[in-house]
Amino acid sequence: MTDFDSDSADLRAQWDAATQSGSLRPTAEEEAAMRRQVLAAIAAVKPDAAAAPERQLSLEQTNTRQRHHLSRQRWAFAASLAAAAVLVVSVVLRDTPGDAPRDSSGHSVAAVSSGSPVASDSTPVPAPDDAVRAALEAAGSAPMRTALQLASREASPEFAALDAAADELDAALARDPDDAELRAFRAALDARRDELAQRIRSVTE
Amino acid sequence: MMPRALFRVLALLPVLAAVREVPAPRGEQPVSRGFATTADVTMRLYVPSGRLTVEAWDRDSVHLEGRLGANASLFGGGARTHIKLGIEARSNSDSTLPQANVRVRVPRRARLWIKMIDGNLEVSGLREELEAYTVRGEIVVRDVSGNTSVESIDAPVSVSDASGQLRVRGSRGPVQLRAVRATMSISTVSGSVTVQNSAAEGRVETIGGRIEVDGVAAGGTLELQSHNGVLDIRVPGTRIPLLELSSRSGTVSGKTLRGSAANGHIIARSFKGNVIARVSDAAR
Repeated sequence: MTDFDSDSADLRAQWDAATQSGSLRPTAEEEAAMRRQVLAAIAAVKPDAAAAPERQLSLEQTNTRQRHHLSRQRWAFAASLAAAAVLVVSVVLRDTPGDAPRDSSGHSVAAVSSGSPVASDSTPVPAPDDAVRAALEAAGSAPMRTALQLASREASPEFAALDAAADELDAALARDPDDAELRAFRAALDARRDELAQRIRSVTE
Repeated sequence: MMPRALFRVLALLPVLAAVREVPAPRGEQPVSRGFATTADVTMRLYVPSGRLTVEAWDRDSVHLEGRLGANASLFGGGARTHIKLGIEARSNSDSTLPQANVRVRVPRRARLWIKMIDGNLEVSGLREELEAYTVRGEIVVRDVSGNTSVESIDAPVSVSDASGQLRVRGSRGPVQLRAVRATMSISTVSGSVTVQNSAAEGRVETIGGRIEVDGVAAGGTLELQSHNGVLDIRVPGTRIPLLELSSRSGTVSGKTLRGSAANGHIIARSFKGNVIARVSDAAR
């Protein structure tokens, strides 16, 4: 056993003896002295309160005040918690998507663009090639998907035109496969197609 | 005596009220930001929707001002030599493209990369490098030199007073070039290409779009090609360039024009589009 433990044992023994003998309970004289001390302290702060008989405090009354003070502290803690909860809920409500659009003044908000806002719709989007389809699938956010859908939709007729031109050139090349000029036309077509596909992919880059 | 707890709650009320009254991110918001940069800063700008005007100025700084749309917020960062600024959606679940109407002033020798999706883009005064992209809307480029590259899917493209290297990749939107003294590489799919008051050389290609040119740089070569688009060449009567015109299944007119290589060289070929060469009315 260490010295510290020894001291603790001694103190515990003293405490037990004192409580058994009731020496820790205040005597009538001690209670009167404590009352005088409390009244003197109150008089130092608020002389009129100490002078008023109805406001003279007994030790029990002081203890009651202390209990009330503790009760108010608990109530204040609970109120603070409630206020914090209200704070969190109000912030969450404010930032939750889908909240009715409004501005701080309550008036409608004019669009900054001269063009109409672009939003995704239910129109089926033609997937011109695998690269575009892959880009659509890889788009992470809703605005990015909207952008890709717009690019794909706008480019769709161009891909159709390229396909039609390619069919014509392929037919001509089938008749004359060694025609260098036809091959040059065909190569140019492929280049335009690659560029267009790249421009759609550029939406996400 | 007012209980301390009640006092605390009352003190919190203005805070709660302020939280509810923070300007909601639903309305249009003004924005004005400046950044110190080098004179040749490399810069990236991204404005998905709305209007973006970029002007060059003779300062070593970048300034952005305008208004952000309800669903937009400004993001960016970088250093004096590299800056990235953009507009992004406040919510990734909102499918509407974030909008802004902003003007950005950049150093004249800035190297600028701009991307839009659906909006009007206007750029002027750059001397070094410009790369611009949009899907829909409009692109207008003025008074530029150095390397200029413009890409669009549906947006009309207009370039004027350009020199250096000019590259345009379009699809459906028409391309209009005025007062261009540059080496060009222009291509579209169905969009037309018009080159006016220019002394240019290089290559112009379309699939189904009409190509109109009114000359070529003296001593330079300009190649025009289409699949089925009409090639319309107007040349000044006093400076007719050397002309090589052909169409495999279309008609060719103007083969009788006799020009000189000193005035330039125009090679026009089409798979099935008509090829027309004529002396322009103004220079007849």
